[in-house]
Amino acid sequence: MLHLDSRAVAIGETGPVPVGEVSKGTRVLCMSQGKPRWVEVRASAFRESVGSTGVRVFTDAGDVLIGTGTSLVTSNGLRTGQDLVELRDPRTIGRMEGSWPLLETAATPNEPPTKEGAALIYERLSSLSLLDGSNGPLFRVGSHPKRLLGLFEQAVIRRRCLVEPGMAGWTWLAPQDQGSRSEMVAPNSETIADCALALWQLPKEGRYRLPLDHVEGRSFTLAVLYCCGVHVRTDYRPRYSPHYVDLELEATSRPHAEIQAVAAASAALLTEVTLSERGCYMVVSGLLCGQ
Amino acid sequence: MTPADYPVALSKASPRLVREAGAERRVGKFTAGARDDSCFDRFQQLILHFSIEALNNPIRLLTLPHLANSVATRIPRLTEASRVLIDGFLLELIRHGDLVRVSTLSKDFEPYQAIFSPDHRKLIDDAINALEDTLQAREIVSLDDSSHLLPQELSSRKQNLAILLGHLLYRGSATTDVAPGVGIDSVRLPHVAPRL
Repeated sequence: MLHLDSRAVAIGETGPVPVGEVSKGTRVLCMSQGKPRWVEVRASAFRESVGSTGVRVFTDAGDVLIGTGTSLVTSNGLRTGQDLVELRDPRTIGRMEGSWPLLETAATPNEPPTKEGAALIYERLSSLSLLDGSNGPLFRVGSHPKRLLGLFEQAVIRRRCLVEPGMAGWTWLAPQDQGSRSEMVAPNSETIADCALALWQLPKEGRYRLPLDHVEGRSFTLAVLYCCGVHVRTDYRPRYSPHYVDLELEATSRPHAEIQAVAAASAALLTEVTLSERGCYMVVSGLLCGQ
Repeated sequence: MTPADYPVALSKASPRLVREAGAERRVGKFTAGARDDSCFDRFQQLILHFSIEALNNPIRLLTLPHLANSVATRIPRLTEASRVLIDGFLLELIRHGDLVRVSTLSKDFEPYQAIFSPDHRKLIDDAINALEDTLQAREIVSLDDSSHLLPQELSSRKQNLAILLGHLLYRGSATTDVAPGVGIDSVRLPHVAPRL
C-alpha cells in the first residue's frame, strides 16, 4: 500500500483528483512496464496519526509528500521516503545537498481533458481561489494581465467581476450582483492551463510563484498543467528549507526530475491507498509512486 | 565551550587555525574547520541557546541578519572567522524546526521571513487567526486595533504587530492603502472602501 499526502493529486478518469478524495473503485493513472494504464483502487483510508512522519520531496517537476515507507521510482530503482532523507549529506550545515538519484517522471497524457473534466477543473479552481469577503465571495488570483484575468472571470467564475489589484502580487475579483457571463469559453488545454496559472502570482514575465503553504492550490494546479500537456520546471527556494516555489513553462518534457530538497514532515496527514494490481506505479503530482 | 573550540570559516581564519582544524564541514556558503566534529554540534547548541534568548523577553520576531547580530553579541570572544558562520547555523536550526519562520512584507512590500521561537508557535498562529477573524468582522484592522486585540506579550513591540499584519498581505487575505516605504499601519479586506 501507498501512504500519500491527502492533498497530493492523482489523475482519475475525469481528471486530477486529490488523493484524499480517491475511494475504492476509483480508477487512477498508473504506469506499468513503461505504459500508462488505468488501475482500480482496492482500498483507500485516511490515516491521521499524531507522531507519524512523512517526507516531502521537492523536485524541479513539482513536489510530493509521501510516507517514509512509500517509494518513488528513480533511475536507480525504488527509493523510499526514508532512503531519500538519509541521502542528504549529513555533514553540511544550513545547506541542502545530497547524492539523490534522478526521479522518473510520468509522460503527460495524449488526450486533453474532456468537457466534463474541464468543468470539474474549473469548479475546483473556483473553490481554491475563493475567499470570504464582507460583501460576498472574493476570488484571489495572481496579478496577471487583463487577458488572463478576463479568461478566469469568464471560464471559472462565470460572472462579471470588479477587479482590485493588490500590492503584493495578488489581485481580487469580486462578482457583481448582476452580469453573468453567458459566453462560453472553449475548454481546450490552453484555456484550462491558463486558468490554473491564474492562481499563481506573476513576479516577473514568464515566472510564476506561490507561497509554499498554498499546498492544495499548488498540488492541484500542477496536476492540471500535467493533464493539459504543459511542461514546467519548478524551483523551490530557499533550498535548505523551501518557503516558496517558482515555476517556468518549458517547451519540451523531461523524462527525469532532479531532487532539490528533502524534508521530514511530522504528523503528516496521509491517505493509505491500495491498488488492485501489483507492479504498477501510481502517478501522483507527476511523479511515480510505488510500494 | 571555549572560544578555541568555535568553528571558523577557513577562508577567513589564520593559517595556524587552518592547520589545527581536525574536522571540516560545509556551513552555509563557507567551508568551516574546527578542532573536532563535536565542536560543530556544540556551537550549534550555543547559537540555539542565544537565539532563544534573543527572541524572548520580550517576544521578538526578527529577520535572519538581525537575529545573527543579536546572537553574535552574546557569544564571548567571537572572531569574524566564526561570526560569518552564524547564518549557516541559523539556517540549519530553521531546517530542523528549532527556529520557526513567518513570511511577511516589508514596508516596501518586499517579501521576507521573520524568525521566532517555536515555543511561541501557538501564540503566533492564534494571533494570526485573531487578526483574520477581526478583519472579517470589521473589514479593517489597524496596528492600534492589533495592540488591543493581541496578548500584551506580543503587542508590546510594534514591529511584531507590523510583521503579523504584513503576513496577511503576504498570503493574500488582505490588502492595504498605505504607500510603499511608509510602513504598514492598517490592512483591510479587498473590495472594501478605504477609510480616511
